[in-house]
Amino acid sequence: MEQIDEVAGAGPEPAGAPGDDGLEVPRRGRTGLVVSAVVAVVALGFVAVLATREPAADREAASPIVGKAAPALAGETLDGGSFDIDDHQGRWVVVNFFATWCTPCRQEHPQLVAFDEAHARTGDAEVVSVLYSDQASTARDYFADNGGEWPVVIDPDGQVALDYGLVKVPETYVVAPNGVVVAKLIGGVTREGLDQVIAEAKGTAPAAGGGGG
Amino acid sequence: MSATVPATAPEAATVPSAALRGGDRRFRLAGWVVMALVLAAALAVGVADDGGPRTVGERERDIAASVACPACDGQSVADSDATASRGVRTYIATRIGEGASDDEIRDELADRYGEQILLTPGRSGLAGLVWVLPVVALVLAFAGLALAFRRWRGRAVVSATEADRALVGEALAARRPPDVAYPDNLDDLSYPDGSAGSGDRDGSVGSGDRDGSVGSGDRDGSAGSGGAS
Amino acid sequence: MNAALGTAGVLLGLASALGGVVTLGVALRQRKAHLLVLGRSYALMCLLGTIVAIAAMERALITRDFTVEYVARNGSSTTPPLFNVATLWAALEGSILLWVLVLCGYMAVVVRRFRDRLSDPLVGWALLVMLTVTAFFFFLLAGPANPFTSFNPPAGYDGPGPNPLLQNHVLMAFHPPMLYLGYVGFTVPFAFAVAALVTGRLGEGWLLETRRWTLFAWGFLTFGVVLGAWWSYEVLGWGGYWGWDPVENASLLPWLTGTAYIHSVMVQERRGMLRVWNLSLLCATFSLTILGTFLTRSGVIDSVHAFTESQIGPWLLGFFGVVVAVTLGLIGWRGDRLRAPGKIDSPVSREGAFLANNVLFAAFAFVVLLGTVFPLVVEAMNDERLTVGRPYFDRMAMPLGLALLSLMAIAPVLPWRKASGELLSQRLFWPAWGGTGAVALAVAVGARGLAPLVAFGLGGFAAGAALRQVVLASRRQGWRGLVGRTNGGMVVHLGVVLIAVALAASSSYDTERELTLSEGESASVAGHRISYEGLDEIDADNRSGYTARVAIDGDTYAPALNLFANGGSAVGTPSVKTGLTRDVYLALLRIPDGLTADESGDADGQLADGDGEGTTPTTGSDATVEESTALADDEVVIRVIVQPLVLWLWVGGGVMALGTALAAFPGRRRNPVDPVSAPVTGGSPRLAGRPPRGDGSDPAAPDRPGVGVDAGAGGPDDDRKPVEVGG
Repeated sequence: MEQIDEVAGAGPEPAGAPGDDGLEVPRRGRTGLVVSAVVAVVALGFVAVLATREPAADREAASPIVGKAAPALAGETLDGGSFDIDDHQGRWVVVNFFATWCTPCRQEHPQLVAFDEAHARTGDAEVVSVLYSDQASTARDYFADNGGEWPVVIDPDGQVALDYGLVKVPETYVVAPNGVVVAKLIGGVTREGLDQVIAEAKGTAPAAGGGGG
Repeated sequence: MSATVPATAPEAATVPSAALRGGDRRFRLAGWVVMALVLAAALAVGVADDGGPRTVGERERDIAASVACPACDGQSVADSDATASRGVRTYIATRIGEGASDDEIRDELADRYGEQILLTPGRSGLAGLVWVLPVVALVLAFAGLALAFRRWRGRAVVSATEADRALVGEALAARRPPDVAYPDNLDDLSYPDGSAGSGDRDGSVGSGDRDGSVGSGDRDGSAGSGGAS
Repeated sequence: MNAALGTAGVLLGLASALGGVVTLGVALRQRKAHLLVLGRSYALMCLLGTIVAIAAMERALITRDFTVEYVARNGSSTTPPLFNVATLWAALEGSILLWVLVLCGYMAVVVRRFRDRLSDPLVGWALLVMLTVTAFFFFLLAGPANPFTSFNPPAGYDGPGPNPLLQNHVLMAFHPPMLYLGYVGFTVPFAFAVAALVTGRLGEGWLLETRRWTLFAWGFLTFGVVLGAWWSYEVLGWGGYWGWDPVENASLLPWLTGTAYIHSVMVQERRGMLRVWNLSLLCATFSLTILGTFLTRSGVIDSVHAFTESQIGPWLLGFFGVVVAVTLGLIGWRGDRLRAPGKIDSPVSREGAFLANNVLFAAFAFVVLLGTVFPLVVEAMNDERLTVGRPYFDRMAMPLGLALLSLMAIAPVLPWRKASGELLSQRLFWPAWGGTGAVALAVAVGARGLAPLVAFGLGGFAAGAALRQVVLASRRQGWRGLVGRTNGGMVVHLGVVLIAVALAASSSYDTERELTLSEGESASVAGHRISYEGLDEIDADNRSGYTARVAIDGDTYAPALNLFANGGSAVGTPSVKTGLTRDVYLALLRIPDGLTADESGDADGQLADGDGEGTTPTTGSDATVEESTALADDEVVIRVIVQPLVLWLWVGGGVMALGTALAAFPGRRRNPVDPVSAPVTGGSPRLAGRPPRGDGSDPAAPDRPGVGVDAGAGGPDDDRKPVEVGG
């Protein structure tokens, strides 16, 4: 008659006690130790990974267009003219996406003005702004009030912004004289910062076609 | 071997007696067959009638649902209404109009914004691990279970002897009443022998804060705790 | 004053916790029972410290005491009272205060429950572990996450108030406390698990002590997660309720392992098996709560929900590492002692079903964890940045969910030890008809598509199995057939089925449209008539903005766009028409130009960056204007989403909570050492002083035997008769 209380396999614990009544005694296995060790290694590796992460907000977006030719940037400007970045090969071009309602954009504006004026004399670098999600009239007023003598491209459909992979204003792209994007800067820029980026890029770039300075 | 333990009365009332079982079984078998047919029919209708190929709107939505909004935290372009999202949706719509395929559109967006704009990682390279590892884990887990079952099956079956029963009976009888105080030096802890207390209890030593655990004191796994060890 | 009081409370708590750890450590080392009892005093002092700190913070919030920096950063004179009180947990430091309150509360209940057993080393160790965890969190409060730092408010200063999304809905007052009651509640069974490992007392005693705790913690966690989903739905504006956001995943992970534990622990109770596994599950659950806390508070992962990044990240990660190392060490050390002598006879049995259940839940947890941390790991290895978003999780969760549904359908009718085909055919018959009926009904009302239909079918099947159990149990035992672990569990299963069906329906059959309507215009979406009637201005203390009057089939609803006083960009408040069969969801996306001149953030709903205050989580809506798609003066853009059966998600959550309460209902008092299995024909071991009953059933139990198991625990199918075994 089958009994419910049959017990498979083991004698009294702890294992290792001599089972002299004929009961099978399980070997003191080491599976537990091995599994724990493996899991421990994985877990601690995981902790090491987490420990070395920077906060997400600080992470530089590795933009996929850095190192490649600058995407097309052409369109009507605030003052009614037109702009095409391809016409500006041979000089450093600082492409700045902005909007008047964006506080850091307003904060960086004087820096851009300073940068533009400094390089206007040497003629080796210039600024072009792209208006993002804003009204042309507002932008005109803004430039009238705050200075800035560079072309401002109106991007009504956001197509340029999309082509550059714009996430959020302000973003600035530095384009070398040979038309290659060398840097993407998120957040507000400073004049010194821009100069530094250009200097570093000059140092490492192969002879950037004739771009003076 | 079979039912010599009297079934408790209510159960006997609901389980058909052996005499009826034969006919009952045939009825049930027929029932299963009918059920299978009904199910097949319903599913046939339900699945075949799925609507045609995706409309343009659906295609847009599908692609948009697989692309992250560049400016938000993790929402898809379909769900978010940020300006950047609207721009991407417009782009998708335009490119669909120009005849681009889903993959082409996604690749173009990744070219501009980086791989992280796609909400699902690709299938190749390191990223592909995220698809492969769960399947591997599940397979390994079930394999482990199968191994465990095989190992269990291989264990010798042992019946309890009368000596075992006597041991269990003694231990149950010697169950320490819960209101014995712990001695101050716990090394002096010992168990009274053969306390007659349990006869007076109504079994309500149960599931409150006390478990009246026999043998699961400082000794580990001594055969005293009933079937639970 | 408030800051000083609060700091005093925190320091009192920290000192008590540390003192308790030292005292108990010494007591356990030197085996001095009289010292062990002191653990209670320390625990109660911790609670006192917490209460003082919380009282101080609430007082500071309510009186708008801006000399406390936390209040200065998160409070405001314009925040309504309820949200002001809830601001306690609106930001990081305050949330740690809430954590500590719940933890000390639980600890106080533990010392009360075990007041007569405080000198038991098992309880001593458990208390030691709990005090250690408490000490850690008090340390965070005293140092890296100090909520009582002072601030010198300039004259006329008014704080910005909590994050706008956290002032939008009353659920904000309930969701975090519920969640924490669950989350933190798992510390108790974890403490007992560690105690059992350390003392080597690995029999079932510790298990019984903590069974009900685990159920409570799990119940609160379930409820908290469902409330969170509901809050998401009502507040965030995208019409969904679960986005597989890292913070959501952080709350789901311990739930998954906790659910696995609740099921496999029954195998341990019945058969004494799976002890290592159960202990590991408990330790994993607790570790996951710490990991989840780290992920959401360290800023390592982007999330709509995440708190701003702070200094406590490294500490939490370190604590996580310590917990993992200690528990793995203990399990590795003691693990082999735990090896049970039993075996599981057949995969087709209740034990087998629970094993499969555990494998599936473990796989589910693995998938969720993998998806959440994968971007971090890949970036560490490869510098490649990628995203693992909703589509991945949806695709992985679906087969797992369907497999679990099928298991839910079959497992309740499975007997322990072994089932025969005949038995299954008999017991599954009517539940299977339930499933078939569900599919037929769904197809009849127009549902199409394989995946949802399979979900409906399995849901019907599972509901049938659960109902069968409950009906049989009530027939036999009257009202007692509804309470107790098994029957309560069946009610929980019913809740799960409701949620599964609602999930399948709302995600497969939803309709979404964006309508641009001018005043008086209407449109039709999925059979509902949507008319835009006009804009009203909002004038509340803490916010301004506009409400659109929109009529759905004649009833007016009012989605809004709010501009909060702290100057972020517009935050939408959706408006939902909830119905039994479907919800119509309205979100106001854009209003005419010129009405939103107030905003200073950027277009994407985030606080202007560069000012270091962290980001306002974005709802993804914005109210600026693009030249090419400018709205006319009386036009608005409204997003309309029609989703079927959403209400049943929340109802299902409520049913699950009800089921948990029923399951926790104390069963008939049982003698815990009564044999688990059915009586053997030879007569059961004689208990002193009791004559055996004539029918061979165990004399100790008035009705049925069972270790700590409530009446009817084997289910109304009395499968514990030997007759069932071997067919």
